[in-house]
Order: sequence, then C-alpha cells, then structure tokens
Amino acid sequence: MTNKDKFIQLVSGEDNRTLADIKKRIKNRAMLRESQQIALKVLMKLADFGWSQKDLAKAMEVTPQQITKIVSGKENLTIETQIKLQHILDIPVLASYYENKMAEMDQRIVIFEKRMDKMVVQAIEYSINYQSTKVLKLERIDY
Amino acid sequence: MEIVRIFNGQLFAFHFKGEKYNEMRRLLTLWNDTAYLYEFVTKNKSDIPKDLNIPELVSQLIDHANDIDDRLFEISSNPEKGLEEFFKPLDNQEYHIVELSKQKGRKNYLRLFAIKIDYHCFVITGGTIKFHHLNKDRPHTQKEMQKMDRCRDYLKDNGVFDADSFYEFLNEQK
Repeated sequence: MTNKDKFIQLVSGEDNRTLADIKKRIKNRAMLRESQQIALKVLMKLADFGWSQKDLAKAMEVTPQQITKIVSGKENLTIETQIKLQHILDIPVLASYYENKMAEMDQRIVIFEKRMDKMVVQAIEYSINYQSTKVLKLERIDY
Repeated sequence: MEIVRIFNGQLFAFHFKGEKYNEMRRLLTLWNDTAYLYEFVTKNKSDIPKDLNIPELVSQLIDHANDIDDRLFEISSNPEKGLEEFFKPLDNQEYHIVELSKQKGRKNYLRLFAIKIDYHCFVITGGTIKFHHLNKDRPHTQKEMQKMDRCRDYLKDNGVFDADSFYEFLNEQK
C-alpha cells in the first residue's frame, strides 16, 4: 500500500462547497469588487466618526447583522441601502453622490456670485455716496 | 480533526474540530471578507509596507485572494495542470524529495500551507497573511507552523509514512 493509499483511507468525505464557493466568487467578481470597495469606505468612515457598527445600524434603522453583512463586502447591496450609506456617512457610493455634490457646488457658486454682485453694487453705491460727499464738501469750500 | 476531499483526488484539506469550515474554505472565506482584512491590517499596522496605506493594502489582499481563487479553479478544471504549479516547499533550501514535505502556496502576503502526500496530491493544513519576513516572528504565523506539525504528526500516527523511504534531511530539521 502506498503512502497515498494510506492517506486516502483517512479521508472522511468530499466537500463540494469549497470549489463551489470559488466558482461563485469568480462568477460574481465584478459585483463583489464594488461591494468590497463600499465596505472599505464604510469601515474607514466608521473609524473616522468613532462609530461602532451598532451605531450605524441604529442610524440606518437596520439590524447589526445587516451591517455585518455590508462590511464583509459580500452583499449585493440594494440601491436603497447604498443611498442610506451615502446619505448617513457622506461617502461616495452612487454616481448621484458626485452629481449632488456638483449641484451643491453650482448652487454655492450662484449664491456666491449673487453676493458678489450685491457687494459690487454696494461698493458702487458707497463710492457714489462718498464722491457726492466730496462734491458736497468741495461745494462748501467753493462757498 | 478530519480530512475532506476538495477536488479531483488532488487537493484535500484538514477540517478541525470546532471550525465551521475546512481550512481551505475557512481561509478563502476570510480573505474575501473586507471587515476581517481591515481589522487584520489595522491590528498589524506596524508590519505593513511603508509605501502602502490600510485601504490600499486591503484592496491588494482582495486582489491576491482573487488570484488564488483563479489559480486553484484553473488547476481543478484542467487535467493537464497540477498543484505543483501552486505549492512550493516551505523550506526554500529543500532541494531533495522529502516525505510529507511542508509546502506553501502563495500570492504576495497570502499563504496557504499544505503537506505533500504524493505527486499531484496535497492536503491543506492552514494558512496566514504574512507581512513579516520570518514565519516564526509573529504569533499568527507561528500558530500555523504548529498546526502544520500537528497535521504531519497525525498523518504519521495513522500510517501515512513509510519509514524506509522517509528521508529526513538536515536542512528540514533546522
């Protein structure tokens, strides 16, 4: 009996799940990669905030088990979950994050421009007033 | 402990009492778990390469785990391929045939440890994430070395060991 024969006698059974898991991961790799990137952003933000996974569960109104699944990076996250994560943690998950940021930025620029316009108008008004004062003063000197 | 067949009569793995999965499934599951990797890297921050930050390293580890998935799947589905392409002797100085040779399958920082039973026949005993040069230098890698010894002893105790053909080389005893 060879070493291998003796070894085979020790084998208690077959575990098909290990290879099935590998096949499944390969098949779902693109989705998993996205899920893992989101999980990583969530974990880093939790560390920044000093939040536990329970704190996030509370904020998202989900069970701590659901957060465990999210941060494992193995979940096919629903759009609803992604929106909640993006909103609560202020992390870029969906394209809407940057679209919203751009819109916010545009709005700030508009507000800034309006303020600038107002300031320019005010400056002109002050300048006119000042010149009028000067004219008045000059007029008085003339007298 | 028990041994389970993973594929093709080529790859086997130990399944330890109290563990949910066999060693190969356990490790590949962990290496694809972002929270586990993040925690591991954070805990071992002092060992990580200076040019990498935590999220970069976690992403790299996931890529490496994907690579191991690909390589093992390729070997499992191609009869012309053998596990010798993946596993190499743990002892870099092992140039001779050693019975129940300790082997490692690696991708950068990830290590799967196995014992070679025969040509195209390996049994996985465990694995680790190794940032440090020497296995004996960190408790998590040290534990895996001890596990490999225990598995080897188990095989020997159960007769998977032919004394006449077993050559213990000096370099292996180092």
